[in-house]
Amino acid sequence: MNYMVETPEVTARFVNTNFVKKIEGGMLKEAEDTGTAFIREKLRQEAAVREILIPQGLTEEDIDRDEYSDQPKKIIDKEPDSYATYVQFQGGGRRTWFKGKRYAIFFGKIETQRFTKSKFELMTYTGDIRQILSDNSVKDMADKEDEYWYNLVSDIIALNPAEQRTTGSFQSSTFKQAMQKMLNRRRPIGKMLMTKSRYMDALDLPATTVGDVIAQRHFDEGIESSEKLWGIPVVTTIKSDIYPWDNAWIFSPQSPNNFLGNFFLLQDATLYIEQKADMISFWSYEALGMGVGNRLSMQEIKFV
Amino acid sequence: MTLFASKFDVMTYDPHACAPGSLVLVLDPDPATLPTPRFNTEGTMLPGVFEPGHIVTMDANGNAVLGVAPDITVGLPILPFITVDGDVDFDGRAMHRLTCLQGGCEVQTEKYVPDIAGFTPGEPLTFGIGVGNAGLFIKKAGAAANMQIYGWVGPRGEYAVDGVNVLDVIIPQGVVY
Repeated sequence: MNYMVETPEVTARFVNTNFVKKIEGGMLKEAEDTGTAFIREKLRQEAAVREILIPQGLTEEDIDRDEYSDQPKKIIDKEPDSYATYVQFQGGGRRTWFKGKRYAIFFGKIETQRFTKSKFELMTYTGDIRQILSDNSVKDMADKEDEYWYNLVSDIIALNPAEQRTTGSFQSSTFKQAMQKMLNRRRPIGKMLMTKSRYMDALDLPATTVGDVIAQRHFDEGIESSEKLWGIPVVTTIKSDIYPWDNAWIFSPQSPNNFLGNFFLLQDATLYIEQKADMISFWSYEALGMGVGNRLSMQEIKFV
Repeated sequence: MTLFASKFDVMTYDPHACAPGSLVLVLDPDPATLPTPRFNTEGTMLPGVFEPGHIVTMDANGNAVLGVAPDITVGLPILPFITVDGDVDFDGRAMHRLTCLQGGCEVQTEKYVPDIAGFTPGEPLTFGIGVGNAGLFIKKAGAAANMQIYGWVGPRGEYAVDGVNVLDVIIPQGVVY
């Protein structure tokens, strides 16, 4: 038996009206929750660094206090180095008064512009207010996370370019050399990062290199169907304005053992909304800290 | 303001919580002042040079540098700011940005050059003149008599907090010759 399916379409104007009504009805928390949930989903998708360094939320109990400041920090223990030795039966290993190393992660805040609008002007918008929030807030915050990560990585590579920068064309030999550099430093290979536009160069990899099946798939379905290059997961980003498109990076993994660094969140992206009379203001903020404890666990590829 | 064709916008930061009349600006420090690298061998971020209380001005790139007042008998005044959150503490090391106030505040600061005659409430203060004094308040007298004003000694004058001398300074908004 056939039957009709009715899918009610909620117009953007209706969404905006409800948004305003929720605020006016004292349901600020509900309005915040709606936006907050949406934002978290978008941030995971759009900040490339979050796929390299998995964000970890911290609570008050996790924070390390400091004798000289009331600002939060997190101290991370690093693996102490050790070695073994060959000895005769009457010999023994050297003694050592062992000690570990540590590094600290400090925290800052990323905040969007503080958007202000009269509710009477807001009524004229036919676009979904939540889309405005995501466009103007989430992308900006994700971009700042990626900028922070790119600057950190660039500073690390600049300290040791002869070892941690591999130059070549977009072909297997270049990637092979870069991965060999990592492995020769006894660093495991985790993920690659590059721009989507650079990733498109994989379409040019010939069947003699990648095999007929992959070349055929790239021809039929495009590069988006491939999530790996030579078995290495590739994180791609459209942000050529942040990550130079003639570069790619290889990073060691964070799990099961962390060879790279940390990305801590004191608070994930949060939408704050307030209304005073007819004026509605909203903005988003997050508190985060990022650090690299093992600077040899990354390799930059410079394409020429 | 709300006609779409107009590009006009009011972009002021919200006032500082302890200075509701303040004009806040967030500035990037001059890259030459940043530690190189920005982290130590273990990966901990290192501090910059800007501490709370330092007076800063903008260079041609809009970046913050420790401020030195101009001689206003031969040149034009400049726009100084006082740093309230520098890049030495933990969040400063993490972000390397400065939160500054142009004025509209009263501050207690140890960033000043001591004067043998002490400080009297109401005395004008300039800043930055002399070797090693960049970013510090200085009494507008003697060699600094012709330099631009950036505040006046407040009613509490000079006093000690935990054994450290500090100066009460009132900084109005705007630029004073």
